[in-house]
Amino acid sequence: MNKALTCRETTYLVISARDEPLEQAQQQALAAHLQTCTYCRTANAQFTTLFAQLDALLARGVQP
Amino acid sequence: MSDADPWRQLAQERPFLLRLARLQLASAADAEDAVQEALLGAMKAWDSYAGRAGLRSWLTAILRHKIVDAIRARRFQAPLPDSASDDDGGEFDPLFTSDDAWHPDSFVDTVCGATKEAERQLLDIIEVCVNRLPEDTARLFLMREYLGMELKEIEASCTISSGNLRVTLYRARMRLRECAVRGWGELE
Repeated sequence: MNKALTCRETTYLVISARDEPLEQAQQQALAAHLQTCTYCRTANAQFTTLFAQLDALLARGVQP
Repeated sequence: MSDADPWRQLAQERPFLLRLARLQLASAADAEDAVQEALLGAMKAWDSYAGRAGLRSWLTAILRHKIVDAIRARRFQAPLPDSASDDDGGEFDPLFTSDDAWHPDSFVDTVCGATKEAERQLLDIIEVCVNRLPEDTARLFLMREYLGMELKEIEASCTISSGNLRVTLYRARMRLRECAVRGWGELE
C-alpha cells in the first residue's frame, strides 16, 4: 500500500485528471483520501463546478 | 435597429471573441482576421443557427475552428515562458499547512450549485478570472481548454517541456479556483 496522499498532492491529481486519465493506483489513493478529508471533498466539488463552467464558457462539445 | 438584427447581436459578442483569439494567435491582425471570418461565417449560417444554442456558445465554437486553421497555417507564435520553472514557486504555500493539508484559515469553502438563473453570472465570474491569468499562462491554458489540444501537441508546437506545461496548467487552475470561489461567495 502506498503512502497516503496529502491534500496538496490531491490537488495535483484532481487537476491532472482534467488532461489525462489517472492510473488505477492514483484513482484509489484519491478516493481513499476523499473519504477521510472534508476539505478535499469540498475542493473537489469546487473544481468540478469550475471545470463545468469552463466547458460552458468555452463551448466545449458545441458543434458550429 | 432592433436586437433581432443579426449584425448587432454578433457585434455584441465581438470583444469576447477577440480576447480569446488574441491569446492564441501571433499577431493582433491574425486575431482580427479569425474573428472576422468567424463572424462572417456566422452571418452566412444565421438561418441555421436560429437560437438553438446560446449565441456566444455557437460563435465560440465557430471561432475555435478558425483559430485551429490559423495555427495549422503556421500563423502561430510559440509562447516561450523563459521564467517558467518546474515547481510552482511556492505560490500556493499559503493555502496549505506545513504538512500540505488545506489550511483552515485560508480555505474558502463556498461551493456553487449552478442554478439556471445564476448561470450567466457564474460565466461572467469565470471569464473575469480567466482574464486575470498572465498572458503566457492563459495562452497555454486555452490551447488545452478551448482548442482541446492534447498535452503532447502543445509541447511539440510550443517547445515547452512536459514538466513546465503541467506546472503551468496546475497554476492556472489553482488560481482560477481561488478566484472563482471568492466570486461565488459574493453571489450568496
